Amino acid sequence: MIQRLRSVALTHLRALRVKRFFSSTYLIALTIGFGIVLCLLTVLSARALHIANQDMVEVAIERRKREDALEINRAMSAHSQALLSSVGLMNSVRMTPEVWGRFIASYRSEDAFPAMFAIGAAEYIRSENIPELEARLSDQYQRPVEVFPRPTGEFSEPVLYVERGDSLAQQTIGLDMMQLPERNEAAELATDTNSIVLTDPAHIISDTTTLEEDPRSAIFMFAPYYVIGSDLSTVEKRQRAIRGHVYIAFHTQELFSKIFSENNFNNIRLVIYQKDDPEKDLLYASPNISAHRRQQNVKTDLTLLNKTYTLEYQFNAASILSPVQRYAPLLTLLFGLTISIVLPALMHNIVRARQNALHFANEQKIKKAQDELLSLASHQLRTPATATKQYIGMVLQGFMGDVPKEQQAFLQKAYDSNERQLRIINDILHVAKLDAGRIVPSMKPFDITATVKGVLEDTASDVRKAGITIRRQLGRSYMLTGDEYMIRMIVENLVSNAIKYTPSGGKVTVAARREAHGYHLSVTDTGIGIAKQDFDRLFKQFSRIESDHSATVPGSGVGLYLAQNLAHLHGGKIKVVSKIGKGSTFTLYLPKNM
Amino acid sequence: MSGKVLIVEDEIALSDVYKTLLDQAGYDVRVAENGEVALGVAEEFQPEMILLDLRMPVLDGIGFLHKYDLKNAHPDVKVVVFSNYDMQKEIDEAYSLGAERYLLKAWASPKELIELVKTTLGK
Repeated sequence: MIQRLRSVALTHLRALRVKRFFSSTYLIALTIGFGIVLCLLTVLSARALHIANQDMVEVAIERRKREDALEINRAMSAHSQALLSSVGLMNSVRMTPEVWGRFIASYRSEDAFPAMFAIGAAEYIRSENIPELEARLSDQYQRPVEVFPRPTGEFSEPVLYVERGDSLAQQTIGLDMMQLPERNEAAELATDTNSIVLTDPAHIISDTTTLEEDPRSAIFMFAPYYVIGSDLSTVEKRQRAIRGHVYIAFHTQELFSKIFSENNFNNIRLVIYQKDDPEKDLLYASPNISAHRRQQNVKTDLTLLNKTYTLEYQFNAASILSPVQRYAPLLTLLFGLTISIVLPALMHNIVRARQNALHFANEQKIKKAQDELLSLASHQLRTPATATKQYIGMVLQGFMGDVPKEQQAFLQKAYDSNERQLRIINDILHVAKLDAGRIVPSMKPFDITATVKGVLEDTASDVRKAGITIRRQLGRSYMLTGDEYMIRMIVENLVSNAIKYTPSGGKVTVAARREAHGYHLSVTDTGIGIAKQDFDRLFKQFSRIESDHSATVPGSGVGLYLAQNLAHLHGGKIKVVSKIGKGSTFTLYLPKNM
Repeated sequence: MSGKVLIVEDEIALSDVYKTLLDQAGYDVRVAENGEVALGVAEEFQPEMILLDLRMPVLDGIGFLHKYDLKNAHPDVKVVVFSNYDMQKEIDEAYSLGAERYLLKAWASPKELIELVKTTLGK
């Protein structure tokens, strides 16, 4: 027996020692910390993706720059070769329109020389020799040829041959290049440097009679041809030896279009202009892409022969990247931030729930241990208390002979004290059994009015001793379905409480109200009253409301807890209203049928 | 008063006091500490009344009633069952086996107990 008590006590204490793993604050701090870490990771990831995107765009643009430069150089190189071979031709044969035509025809495939508008040859002559030239050309062309506009200077450089077989080109025969400043400038530079030279942006003549210009931007590539075998070591010598120039005319837009024709311009706009002069001399503009906010510009310089051009790439980073790449940083950010809130919150809730479950289970264990301990103790206490009751009772009730009055009083006190002890033990055991769910009410119909009357009869002597009066308003019988013994216990509890807490001279009222669905029993005392904040505690296990008066009032502290539980078992409840100094009313409600 | 009463109770403190009480009241009392022993004592003593505790080791109250075959073998013997409140089921079972009444051990005062015995034997 002692062993058993000891082991139960130990379980109890051990259970008490188990603490919460995390306190509430710590868990919240952990959660927030976790959240912050996830946030940071998210932000870093999104940033990394963003930077990766930027890098990718940069790489793409760089590649485009290189490829475009390569293509342009290749094209210009090819054209240069064409010019040089034309120069070679001019130096080796006696040129006629037919020869020129055949020669050029062998070159002019669209693949090798995209956008070559025309290729021609001009001769640098003294103005006084113009009539002779005109005669020669008229003869060659079988029609009158004139040098135009009428040259005014000492020299002129009329076009002798041009290939592009249509009439426009033929009309250029005789056109004096020296009077067209861009062409002249380039021709002179070519002469002086003995190299292929590009003009500034100029225009092709669209009408030779009015010298009206085609508004589209054009450039000309010039190559000099000199007197064969001459010394070309100095500029003066070159100027003396120059015979004329071969040239190629381009519409720049068409030229670059043909160069880039294979490239995909969907996302990137390319603008080419002569360096530092974007407004005036736009050589090329790729088909538009829709203007976007956050358009980026990348410029690069390309030097071709004697000119430097600026290639300006306008693009929208978003369209270089695939939609997945584009939105990846934002999506990562959003998703990540969501996760950094949801995941820690989830973790927090799970941990908290688990903790609570563990805590609850633990509390249950403690409670069970408590109950077991009490049960065990009470059980063992009951036997000696019962024996004491019988022994003292035997003497008191005269079984051992007459008892002198003084001794009787003392014995009675001992007997009463023992009775109280038995009641306490009984209550504790009841409570323990209730908690363990071991009490099952046996539901039978009975007359509750009779039960209440019975309790009042039993307590009549206590009432008299306490010097108080009982008023009853019970009415007729009322049949209830329930466990009569349990209901009796509740009524006993309420009535004995009322008697206990009513001072001498006071009054206890027991009133019943019968309704179709249930029965109300009110027990009102004129005692000290109960403070509102104490109401909850009243019904708690083992609690007693401390006050000056209660120190002298006997009670086990489980009465109301037990009474409430028994009421609940029947689907009913006990309510209390009270006024300090005036008294309290406890009302038991029981449904007619559960 | 006379009458043969057998007390079947495993708690010695209680069986002592009840024996003392009933002796004092003039009854012929025997005690048995469990159902098994009680069968033997009953055989020899032939009680008129048995105060039977329900919770006992070896052979409990119900077991005793089964073996004693109260209804058939000893129909004139009055059995009052000692119990605590929570044993309603056992009390019902005891009744069905022929028990007369039940008594909450801790509550009856000596007077009440004697009254009970007197009334029961008087029937």
